[in-house]
Amino acid sequence: MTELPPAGTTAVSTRGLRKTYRHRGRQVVAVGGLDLDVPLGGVHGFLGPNGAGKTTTIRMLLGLIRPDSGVVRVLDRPVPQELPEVVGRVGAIVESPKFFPAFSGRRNLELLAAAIGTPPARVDRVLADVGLADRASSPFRTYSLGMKQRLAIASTLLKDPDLVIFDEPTNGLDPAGIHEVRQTMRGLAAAGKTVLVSSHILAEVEQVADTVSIVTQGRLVASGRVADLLAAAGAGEARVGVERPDEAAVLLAARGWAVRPDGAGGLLVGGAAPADITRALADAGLYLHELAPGRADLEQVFLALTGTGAQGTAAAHQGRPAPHGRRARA
Amino acid sequence: MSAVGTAGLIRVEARRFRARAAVRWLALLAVVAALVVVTTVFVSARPPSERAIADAEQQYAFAQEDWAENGEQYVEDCRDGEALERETNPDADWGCDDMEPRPELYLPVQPTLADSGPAWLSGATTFLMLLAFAAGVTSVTAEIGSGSLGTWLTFVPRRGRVYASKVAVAALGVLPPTALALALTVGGSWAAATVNDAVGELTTAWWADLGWQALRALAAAAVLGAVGAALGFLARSAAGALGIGIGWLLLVDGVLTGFLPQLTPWTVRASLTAWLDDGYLYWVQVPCGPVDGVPQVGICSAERTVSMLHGGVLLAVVATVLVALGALVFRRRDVD
Repeated sequence: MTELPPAGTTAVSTRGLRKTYRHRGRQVVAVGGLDLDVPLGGVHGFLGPNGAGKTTTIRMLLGLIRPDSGVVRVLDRPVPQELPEVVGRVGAIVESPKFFPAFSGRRNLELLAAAIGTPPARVDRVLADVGLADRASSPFRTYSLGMKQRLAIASTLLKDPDLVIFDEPTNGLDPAGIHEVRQTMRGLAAAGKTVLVSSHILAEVEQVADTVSIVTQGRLVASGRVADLLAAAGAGEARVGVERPDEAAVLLAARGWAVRPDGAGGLLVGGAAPADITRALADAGLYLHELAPGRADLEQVFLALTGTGAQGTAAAHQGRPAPHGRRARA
Repeated sequence: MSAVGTAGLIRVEARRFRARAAVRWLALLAVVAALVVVTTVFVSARPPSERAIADAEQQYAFAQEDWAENGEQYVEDCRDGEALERETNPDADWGCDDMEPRPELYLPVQPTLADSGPAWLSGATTFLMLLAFAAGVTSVTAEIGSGSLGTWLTFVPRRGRVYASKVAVAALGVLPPTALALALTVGGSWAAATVNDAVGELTTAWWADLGWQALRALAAAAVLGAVGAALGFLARSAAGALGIGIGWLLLVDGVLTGFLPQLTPWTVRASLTAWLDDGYLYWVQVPCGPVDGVPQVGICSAERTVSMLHGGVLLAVVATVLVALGALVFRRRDVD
């Protein structure tokens, strides 16, 4: 277990964090020795397939679940020991927003505000900030999923937090709602807050996250800046448009490169630099009419690292098992 | 932002408790229960009708004729039976010298507030206890069931304070509706008795006893509210907590007193009744004692009493254990 980073450098750090459950008489490892660092400031994506232990980890950060072992530090305070001292600086939405169904949005927030000594006037302000002022008096159970999400965001803003944790924030939201949540996260980061967002929807995280951690089966498999992870994953497959593609495929495959048809008359070539492809084909008198260099996206990185999905399976078949251990660090 | 202390948390929790629809419904039920008792009092305290009086006079006349004809035989039979019982029960008194029919024994009895007031209050109290317990249970399980307890803990993570505030409010929150229902029962019964001219002599001591009875009912309601909340934390579902509470009273206590009546003082039901009604009578089977130094064979029934103090102490011990257990479990349990 590595040491915790120096104080003042991370919003969240865990070392050897472990949580197991008993399920039907069997011990199930939800989080198995997680070392996680969320840098201060910006948006940090916490990625992993369903069941990877993301929500369990977040619950442990918030003191809702007691870890079996390991160390947790949130905003430089050990958790859960000193959680009460730091909770006022942490806003969190864990899974779906949960409030008293029969109470109005305003009453729900008023009770939370009163519990933390926040002036009641702030309730109306945060409701207005999230666009819920008109429906503030309606019972929470009558809210749409998007409105519930906005109320949850409003509740986190009651505290004026330094760290905001979103757990799968766009689940069930329509595109407009997703866009709103994304804007909110970027807005919070721009205001100097640290945003930790867990998700299994990679496109969503790729658009907002500055850094990411990827977990699978309760363990960290990669962490760092998004750009660094993409670079570390290397170039993706290049799309090649060429005359006599069958002949070209044989030629390129003979060079040891992975070649497959792209389904539109062209080829997808992996493991080769664009210049090398150009040269090889030209030497054989085959001339390109299209060459699009491949670009790895976070989904490819994720699938390769977590060993999930078709590409993960393909990687394993090709003798490239999903690596375990940290690849790149911010 | 500054976290509020336990007192502040209790105030917030009380706001939530008051605003809950389930609590309001339970409070309404308490008022309805009081009104039902008052209505029953009004009906039962009405003076007997002329028809009832005529029927009673006729019955009295029949009894007088019968007494004139068979009275001596009745007294003789009575003395024989009494003598037989005194072989096993030296204190037996069948009242053989007081068997002659008297008119008041045949005329319909009109209960008075002075005689029946405590029983009338007791009639409402049992239901009020159930409501207090249910209010305590639902105040916690609704929060657990909706998941809002998890949200609450992300704002107030000190579980000891959270638990204390919720249990305290469950205990204190049931007092106003219970007090209102008790006041309605007493006031309504007084009004019903006054209208029917069935008040009787209400002495200062009578009022003091009734006041103590009401205060004991309030204390029991508070304890049951707290126990309900604690069981809510332990069972995490309203059905589970209500099932444990009511099931215990009906099944465990019932079976225990059925098979081992001597354990009655250690049951929750008998203790609660003893506390509310200033004592609880029960009977046990005991070997018959010697009569005039002569050992007797057989089993005799003997009356026993669970005292109010015993009942109160046992209830306090059970409540303390449950509330402490709930606190222990809640501090360590994972919250969804």
